[in-house]
Amino acid sequence: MAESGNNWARPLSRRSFLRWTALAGVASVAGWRFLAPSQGDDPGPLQHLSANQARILAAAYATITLEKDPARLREAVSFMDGFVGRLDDHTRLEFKAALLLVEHSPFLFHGYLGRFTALGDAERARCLEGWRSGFSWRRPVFGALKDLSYLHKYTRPGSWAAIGYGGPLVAGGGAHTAFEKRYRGLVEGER
Amino acid sequence: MILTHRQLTTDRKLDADVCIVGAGAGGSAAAHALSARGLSVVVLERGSFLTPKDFDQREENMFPKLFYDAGGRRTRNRAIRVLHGHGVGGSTLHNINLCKRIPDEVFAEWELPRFNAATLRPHYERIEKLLGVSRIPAERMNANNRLFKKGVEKLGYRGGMLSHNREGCVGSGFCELGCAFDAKLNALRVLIPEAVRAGATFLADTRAIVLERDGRRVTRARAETLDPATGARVSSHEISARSFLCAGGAIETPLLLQRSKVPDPRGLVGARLHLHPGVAAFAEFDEPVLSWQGIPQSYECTEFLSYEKNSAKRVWMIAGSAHPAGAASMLPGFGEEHDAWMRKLPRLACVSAMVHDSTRGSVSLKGDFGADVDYVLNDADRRQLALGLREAARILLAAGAREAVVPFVTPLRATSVAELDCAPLEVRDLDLDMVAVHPMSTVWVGRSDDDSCLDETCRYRHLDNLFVGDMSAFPSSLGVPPQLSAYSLGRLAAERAGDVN
Repeated sequence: MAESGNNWARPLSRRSFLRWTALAGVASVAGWRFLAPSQGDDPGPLQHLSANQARILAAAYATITLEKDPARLREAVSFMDGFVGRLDDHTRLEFKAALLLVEHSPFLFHGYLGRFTALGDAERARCLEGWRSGFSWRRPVFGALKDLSYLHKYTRPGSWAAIGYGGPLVAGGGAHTAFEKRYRGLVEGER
Repeated sequence: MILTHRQLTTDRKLDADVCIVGAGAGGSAAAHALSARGLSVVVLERGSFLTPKDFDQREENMFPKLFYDAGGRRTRNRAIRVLHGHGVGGSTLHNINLCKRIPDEVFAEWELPRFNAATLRPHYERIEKLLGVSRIPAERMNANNRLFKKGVEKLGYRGGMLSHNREGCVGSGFCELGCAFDAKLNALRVLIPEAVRAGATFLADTRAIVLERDGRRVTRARAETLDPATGARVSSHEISARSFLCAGGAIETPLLLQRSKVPDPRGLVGARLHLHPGVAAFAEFDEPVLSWQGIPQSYECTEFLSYEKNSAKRVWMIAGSAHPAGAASMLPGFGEEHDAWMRKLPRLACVSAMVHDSTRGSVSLKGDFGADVDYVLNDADRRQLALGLREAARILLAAGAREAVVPFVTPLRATSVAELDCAPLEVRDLDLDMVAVHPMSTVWVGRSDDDSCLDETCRYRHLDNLFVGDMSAFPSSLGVPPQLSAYSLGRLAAERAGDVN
């Protein structure tokens, strides 16, 4: 008759005890790393992102755009928070999952012990370079971070002088009033 | 009348002769034609009613207002960004106003006796007249287009001026974000006001949820109005009509039909997607180019474009515009490397290459309302895009560029034609930005139930009173900017939709 019964009830050998202890230790460290808050300044009020996600975005934004000013970083995060709110549910979830992966990518892909938000500028840049040019499945994540970061940076008038851009032509002299005449009376109840 | 989420605060039940889903080129042209016949028309439009005062020329504000998923929609493999517009006026709000008819060779390839150049001709003529289509005057070319033309001519390539539908253009260069100067003679400015004055009702901020049926007839559309700022539902509506015309574009129309579970025994709805994917090359010149100013695209190069079946030349080249945020997304790298490129922006010219694609993809529902756009470029189209990039760079170098760059992950940089020709150039997914703005062919016209969704009057084959009047209906890639064809097709579909008893 085959031996049956609960293997867990067997006495642990010294070797097994050490193996399980080591595994439990790694799991605890990984769990702590996973659950612990990301590092960075208070991101301010948010509607769609968690404070952790906002800190990861702020760190990526700072590395991509070279922005250091905490007030501007907070403004960028607030902008990106609003933009994330306009994504469809699936895309928003994917984006948030990607942020988590970025946060842990130094450990998973680059051999750093710290998380993305805890790294210095040069290490973060090396990590993002991995996301930009490494395995192709990682590139869309970098692309999304880049698009969002530069969408914020280069729609701020403060960034335009450095790149020789004079800003959009603005309709002045009551031009809009003239254009709007064409649409008057089309909307119910509006003259 | 136009009703927005501000007016549509309570649930409504509406009756009409024809219910149209989508107020873009096709839907507006259909509403215009049907209301001119004295028929009652209700148009459902997912996007908002925006007028010139709303077009503030700021990408961060306009992307969410003008595009599905705030402009972030991509193919399933993430390789191609698919810009698909919404709003009262649809993609005509943000397009570049280029006007070309479908070439005879493309019609000939379809071999459809009652859906051909002659069938569409009267509709093209009517639309071209309504929208004041004219050749862009040579003196309106901006520096980017002038350099492009110079390069094309220097190489002896075939090229020419394009036609457009603009009036009173001040050259702000922000056509892609809606015209703040109201210079587009588009659905918003021309067709919708006339349709409203003729009695058509437009429900803005309102998405069609489902089409309900009784046997072979669609009986009503269920729809809901959403607050554009929050996405929260404001009210729900039922629209009963004698016939229904889908014009939500080649992504939203198949999704509505799939959500409605229309009979589709061969699983054709949503298949056969074409996108006209495009790529761009940049070049640095000694003199200022300021490519963000003026009419963005006024000249074309057709040297590598033939519409013959199985042609080895299927690339259409035009100038590209380069506003800071858009250019920043495409230029290589990040941090200091990218900063150096951006400082060159005033002296950068851009040429885009779009492929008349043979790749077939598909569109299916992701959740209730999301779009799963499955499209993987075939090898032939990759070779066409590679050809386009190489030739775009060659044209820019011929025009006197100091250096041309193809923004791959590892950029291809060339200061001479010899250097360009030595460089390997291969288009791989996720190795450079690809953008598509012309989704089409997902619910197409054909000759039989076996190979098509629509008959030659644009009626859905398995239902008696359902029609499609947008880019979905074309059986293949058009190889030209599609707006004129979408307007004309809307009118064609409206002819029969209006006759249903």
